[in-house]
Amino acid sequence: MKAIFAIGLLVLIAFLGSQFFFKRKKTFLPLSYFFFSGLVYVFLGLVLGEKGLNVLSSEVLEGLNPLISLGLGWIGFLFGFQLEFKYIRKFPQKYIGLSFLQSLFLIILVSVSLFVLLRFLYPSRPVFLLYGMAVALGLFISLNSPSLLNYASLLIPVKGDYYHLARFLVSVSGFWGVGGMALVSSFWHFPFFEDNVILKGLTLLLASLFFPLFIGYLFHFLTLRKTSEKDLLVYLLGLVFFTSGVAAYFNLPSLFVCMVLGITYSNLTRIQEKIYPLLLSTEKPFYIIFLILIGALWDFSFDYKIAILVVLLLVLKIIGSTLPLRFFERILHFSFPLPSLFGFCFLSSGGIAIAFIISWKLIYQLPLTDVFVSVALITTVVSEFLSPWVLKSAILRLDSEK
Amino acid sequence: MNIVVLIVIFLLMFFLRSSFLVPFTNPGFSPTVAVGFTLIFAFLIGKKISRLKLPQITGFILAGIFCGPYVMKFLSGEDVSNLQLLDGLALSLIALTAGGEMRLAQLKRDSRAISSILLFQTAPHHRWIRCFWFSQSAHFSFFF
Repeated sequence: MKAIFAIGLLVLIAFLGSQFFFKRKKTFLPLSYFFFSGLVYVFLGLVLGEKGLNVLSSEVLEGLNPLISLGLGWIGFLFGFQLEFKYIRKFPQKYIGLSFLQSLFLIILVSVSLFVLLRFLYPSRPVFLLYGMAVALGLFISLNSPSLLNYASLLIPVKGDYYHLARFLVSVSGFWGVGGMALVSSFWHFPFFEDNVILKGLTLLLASLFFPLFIGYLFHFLTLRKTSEKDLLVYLLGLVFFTSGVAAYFNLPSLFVCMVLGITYSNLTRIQEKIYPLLLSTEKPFYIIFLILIGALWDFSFDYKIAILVVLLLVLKIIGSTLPLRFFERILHFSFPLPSLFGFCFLSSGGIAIAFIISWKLIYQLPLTDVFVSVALITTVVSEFLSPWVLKSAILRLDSEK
Repeated sequence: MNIVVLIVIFLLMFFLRSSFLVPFTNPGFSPTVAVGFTLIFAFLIGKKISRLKLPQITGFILAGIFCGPYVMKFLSGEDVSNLQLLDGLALSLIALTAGGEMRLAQLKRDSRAISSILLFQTAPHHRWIRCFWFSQSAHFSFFF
């Protein structure tokens, strides 16, 4: 009974939230974007969760596991569906190169620096756990979300080269971080392999690539004939549910597997114009429910070690996004300069980062996982809060100067 | 085309539930796989059944029996009990949809026909079927 009440409450909040919160007047004020990004629902989930009012108790959350998995799959599918090769080919190849180099640099910088710091902060923990957490934070920090630029598009009067380049980079960069997670979770699989690590890891990696590819083809066959909107939604829900469920069943990241499903389907189908409105109409309520559940799952803790990690992560993200830009510009022979200021467009990490955090938590039930979740979620909240200000000063200045 | 997808999905599920894969799995997510599979499988069966001029719900029930713990075991008894939350939610939604279809004025207009159907058709049928199941309960123990 309590569970049904909890679901009813979630649905009600999702409905009201999608009606009001996302339709607020858009400004560059941090609080305005904070509501738009939906992060406020994570805190609502925290209040409704076990540490708060206990409406979403652990038993209820266990029963709602399929919904969490569906949420992850849905975000992955949405992200992958936007990666249409037709769209990506319109941009110069050096843009993809820049996106890759930027993500790689951030992953290496953060992983190495944090490993050193984690050894100092948690000396009693096994080294392999610290390696894992440092890499997870490196992958997490490399993620960017296009939602802030989408939000700000009406507020930016002059949309020049910098705006378009930033838009492209934030749309694509998530691929590297999420792909990195698939690589890690295949070879550093949990429960850990004792022998034949390379062979088993390679098998899992290939499975997490080919399984969604296969399901994507099936989905395409199902929708080859004229399909009603209702049928399309059932197929979409069923296949995303199934794919994310199978991924989670084998302890693989649902986010990556469903992203590949999204990429496959968007590049096969010819009914994108029918699918996009369907995805957009269902996106918000799903996302709100997902954020509330994440808040409820969050075993919130805060101490000086977490505070140090959050501050360092933010500093490293800013350094990693700004300083190497001049160097990348020279390597890739960019036609226009890439000043350090441009790196400030990439502070926001949005929904894809939150999905990454939960995907990691579901795979790795290890002693430091909850610390990772707290560090990553607090970093996301702070960066989402600061990012509108930073974006405003960066993009407006750059494009107007050019 | 749908029949091909139906067979492929079925074979895929058969493979995923094979015993040699069990050591690599996280049983906590078994209900999620089951929900995804059942959603697609039952929906496609329902579509096929509707071509035979039968209601889609017949197809859904047949798919449920076929995939459930007594035939193909794609959904274990534990999975089914773990999914009771969705069961409750689905029932509430069905009741809400059914309630939304009812018009009080129309009910008032047809009250005589409705009460006679309830009294002379539904109630006797209900009693006969209950008697039959109780007399045969030893053979169909899984229903009770």
